[in-house]
Amino acid sequence: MILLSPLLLLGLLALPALWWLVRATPPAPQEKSFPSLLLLKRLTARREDAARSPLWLLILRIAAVALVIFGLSRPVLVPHTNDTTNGPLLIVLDDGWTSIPHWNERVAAALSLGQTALRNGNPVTVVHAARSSDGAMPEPFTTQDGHALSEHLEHLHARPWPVDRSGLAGVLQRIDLSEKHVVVLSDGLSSPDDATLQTALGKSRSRQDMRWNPCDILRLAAGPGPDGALHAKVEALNCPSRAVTIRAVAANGGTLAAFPAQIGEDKILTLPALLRNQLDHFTLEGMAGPATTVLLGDAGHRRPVGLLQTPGDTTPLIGSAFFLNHALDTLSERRNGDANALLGSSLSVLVATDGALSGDQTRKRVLEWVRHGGMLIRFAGPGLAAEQSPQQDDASAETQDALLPVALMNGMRQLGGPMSWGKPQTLEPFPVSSPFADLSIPPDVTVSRQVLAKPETGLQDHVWAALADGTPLVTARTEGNGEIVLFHVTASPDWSNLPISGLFPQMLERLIERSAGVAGSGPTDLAPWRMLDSDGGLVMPPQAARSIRAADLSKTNVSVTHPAGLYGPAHGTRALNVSDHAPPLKEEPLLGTRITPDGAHPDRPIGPWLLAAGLLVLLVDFVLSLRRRGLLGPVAALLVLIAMPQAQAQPATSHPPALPASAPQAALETRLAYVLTGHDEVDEASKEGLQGLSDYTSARSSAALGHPDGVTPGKDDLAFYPLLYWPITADAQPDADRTKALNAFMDHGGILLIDQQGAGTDMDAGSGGAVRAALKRVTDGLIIPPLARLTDKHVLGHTFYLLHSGFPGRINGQPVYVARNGDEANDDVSPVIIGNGDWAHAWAVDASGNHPYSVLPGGDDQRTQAYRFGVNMVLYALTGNYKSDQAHYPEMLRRLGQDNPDGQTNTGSTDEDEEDAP
Amino acid sequence: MTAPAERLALPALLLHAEKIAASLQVGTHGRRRAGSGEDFWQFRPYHAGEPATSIDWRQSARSPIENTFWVRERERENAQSLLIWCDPSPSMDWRSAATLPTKRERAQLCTLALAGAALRGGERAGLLTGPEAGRAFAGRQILGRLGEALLHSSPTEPDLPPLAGLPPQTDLVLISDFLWEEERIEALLKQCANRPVRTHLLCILDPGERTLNQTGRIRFSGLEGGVLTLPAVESLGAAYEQAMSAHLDALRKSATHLHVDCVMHDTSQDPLPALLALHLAMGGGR
Repeated sequence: MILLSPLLLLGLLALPALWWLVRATPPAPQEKSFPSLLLLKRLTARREDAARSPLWLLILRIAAVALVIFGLSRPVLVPHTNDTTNGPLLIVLDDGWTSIPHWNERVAAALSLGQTALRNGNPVTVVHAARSSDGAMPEPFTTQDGHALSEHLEHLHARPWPVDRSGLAGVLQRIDLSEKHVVVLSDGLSSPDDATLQTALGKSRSRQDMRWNPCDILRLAAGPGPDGALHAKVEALNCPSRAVTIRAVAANGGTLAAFPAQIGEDKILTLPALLRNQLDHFTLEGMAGPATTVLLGDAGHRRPVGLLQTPGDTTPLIGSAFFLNHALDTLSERRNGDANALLGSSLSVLVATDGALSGDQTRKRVLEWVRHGGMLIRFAGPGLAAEQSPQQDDASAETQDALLPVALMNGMRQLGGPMSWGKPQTLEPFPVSSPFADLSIPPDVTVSRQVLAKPETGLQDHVWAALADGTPLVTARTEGNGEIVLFHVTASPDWSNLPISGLFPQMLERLIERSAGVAGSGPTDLAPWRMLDSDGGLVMPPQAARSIRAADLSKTNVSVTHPAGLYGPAHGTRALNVSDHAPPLKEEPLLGTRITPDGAHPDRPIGPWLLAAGLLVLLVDFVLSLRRRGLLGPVAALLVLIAMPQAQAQPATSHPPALPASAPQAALETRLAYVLTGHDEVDEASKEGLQGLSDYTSARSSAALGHPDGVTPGKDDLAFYPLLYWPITADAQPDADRTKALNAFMDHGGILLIDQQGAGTDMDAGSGGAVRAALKRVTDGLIIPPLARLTDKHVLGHTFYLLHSGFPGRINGQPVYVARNGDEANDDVSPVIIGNGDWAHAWAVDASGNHPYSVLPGGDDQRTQAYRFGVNMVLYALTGNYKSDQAHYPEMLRRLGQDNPDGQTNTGSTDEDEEDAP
Repeated sequence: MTAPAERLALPALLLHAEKIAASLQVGTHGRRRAGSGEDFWQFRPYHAGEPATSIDWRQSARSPIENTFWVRERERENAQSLLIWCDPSPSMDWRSAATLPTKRERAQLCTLALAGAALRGGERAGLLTGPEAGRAFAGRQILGRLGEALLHSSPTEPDLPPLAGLPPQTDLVLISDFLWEEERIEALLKQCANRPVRTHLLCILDPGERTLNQTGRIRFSGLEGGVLTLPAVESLGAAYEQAMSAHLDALRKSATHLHVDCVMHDTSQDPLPALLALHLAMGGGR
């Protein structure tokens, strides 16, 4: 072990000081309660009891500080090496694809060798064996600084192409090797230029060859064999047997299948046709890299199908596209859309339902696309049958004909039916030349309607399927590089039950498979499109990558100019893999004395670990001292509390707030409420007034009211209060929250009593205008129904007391306004009572039971009337228009009597009476 | 509203107090002269002007002297009053160990035992704390009321017993820990001496107060306020004991000086010996 900053060890000198400090600081006192300090105060302390910290605590703290100091002095653990060679060192690092399995070990070994040499004062040169991505051999890197060496090595990465032995020899020839010890970190893979390298290395002072287990260098080869099946083979260098797993991967990265295999075994991979269509590449499980990935390219295996449909076609069980979608979904990649969108993307097959190929523009594009190699599958239908009826010399006739494989007769033919002698026809076995050959035909597939082809010479060449009477069911024609196929029936079961038979998807599958065969030849020059990187992923090609002639692809070996990857246009790429056309793996002769990589570990700094341990010990000390003071519980609880809201934050936002644990007092008894204005005297008067009214009401009616509450609408829950008293002050300001809360309050049956508190009257003559402006201001936004002046005819005039002499408050004779009758929204109960009576002051009762405010003009009668009106309001708030219903009882009874003046004459009523009588 | 625990505590406390009171048994003291007692004292002739209801008609009929009315006189019984002050200060709410009662509990027990014994003996007893401070009641059933008043004393009790308006012929018992300044004790006792009462002190202390059995650095927070941090408390034990005995000596000295009985009691011991001593001092043995 060596120390990089030994001076920091001087910090250890501070330990005795720490010892002294810890002992000198008195420990935290215990907390004790004592009845009287009288006698204790008379005592004089004889000595400070500082040295009471337990010894173990002292040792713990000193150990923690010592660990931290050691950690800061950057100790490094140096592995023991018996390397005694002395002199400049040259490291040859094989960094081609073969180095990928052991890349980290290689870098570590190079670092270890370099650090040993540097410690002995020798310069180190690193030479790379693979070309860099610009195609040139990397320059040798020489250094005498350990930091620079590790920087250099850390930024290296393995190349996905093979090493270049002749290039390496060229680099070595430019270096004076006579004084140098050479260590080759070789891959052990033979190449044609091995001899050149041996020669170049021969001039050095000494040579060593460090090799890793060759069994880890694997190469996967896979692809369709001559028999059409997929073959795969895993090669390894000098490896007797090893089990690997080959994964078949789709383009989206999903595994389609996994095949266990042995090294050297020629494995046949069987994949269902559907999965085979999605297959993108093979890879070896757990061993990513360019050599263990086999790309297939997408020429010849992806056959996207476009479905061109009319708007009504997707109706389930009726529309044509419904059946086509179901059939195609299991077969191929399906795309829907209009003709422009479909033809804009790459398609193998275009399926068009009846009527979908309308419009000259669309037809022209489709025709052009078919001529470039597409396959068009059309279905007949009423639309196609009708199109044949008009005259043939139409302008669109040319394209119309061009998109049909055969000329059609007008109209359609109906087989069977109530007015027909014929019967629905079955299918004839498929001709041998047809793509449907050897498909078995279910006997229950019948056709009841079809469009007929014009009987012409050569028609038979176009027929791929026919009915039992010889009329064609499926016809096809080559158009340019593509084909046009017509089903003479609909894709829905209207004309035949073919679309709902199992034969239908099989026929479509045959057609889609056939479409690949008509793909035209690709470009002759294949530009690199995406290359495999050292992790087996696809990246942009490196600078040095060059395009390959299509004809040469089968002869090209992977190199820096032709890395493994995909070549050609983005759609229809072709793959070049490491294993393509490569000779079998062979072991390279040793380039020097063989050494094993064991023990070649780079230096390990242990400072951070010591620091962490020191801090951990300090943490333990912290917890222990908390415990000694008896604070562990509270602090732990505090930490848990701090952590809790963060843990709870997520649920809290997604769930409604929990119900309050204790019910609000206002929910347990009926209470009146008043709006807090912020003026103490007004609020106090409201409180005393409502208290007086509550007591008065409780004493005289069966309503038992509790103490009134002061509330702030928008902050407090108003749901518990039947009546809300709102005194308006001149400085009241609008508040959106309050308005919203009050609207909700009135909307849910609450009654709002707005009191201008006698503004503008004898009592408070000056403030009339200001209060009225304030009222206007604060009620802006309140949903107040049309108002009418309160009369003694209103329910409020007789909910409890019959009031005939006005509705006085502290001021007599002020008008009171309520909602106009006839508002059915709230059961004809006015949600708002607006007045100027200053009722709170009239009702107010102070703590000693007196009325602190006199009424104007005065008299006990007026106060009693004010109380009575208050009682009426409370009962109105509590019972709604119950009293108004009650007021109508005499009328209702009278009307009942009119209808039934004498009960004996009404038989129904008599019967009921008799039944009830016993 | 009282806490349930306190409600439960009262009957147990009363039972205990009654038990101790039975062993104390303060007797009545006949005054050996005519008065408003129950026992017969003498017959005497009726004087004119006396209410006719006071005439013992049977005795008058039996009388050998004609036309002489006799009046039955009863022995006068002058019940003594016992007023007890139980220190309400928070320093009484302390005990050094969970097995011991707090000083207040013990003081309340002693108060009720003394009051119970007095009531059994037909004397009048009362408290100097609580809502009915200074009033003495007779009758054994009053003990429960005294217990209620004692347990639910208001927190605004004065620190010192209210001595104004004490009736004469009263035994005044002060129960406290007397951990006060000596001057204050002296002043209180002098005030008591100026009243026509006989004063007795019952000093209740916790064994944890008599000796300071603590070790290490301790931050003492006084129940009556104040905080004091003392280092190496174990080294201060002897000094504390010295201070304590000096304090108690001063207490006893001023008590003796002013002819006041002073009885010491330790909460770790049975209260009966201390109460007997107090009882004896009050003249219960007469």
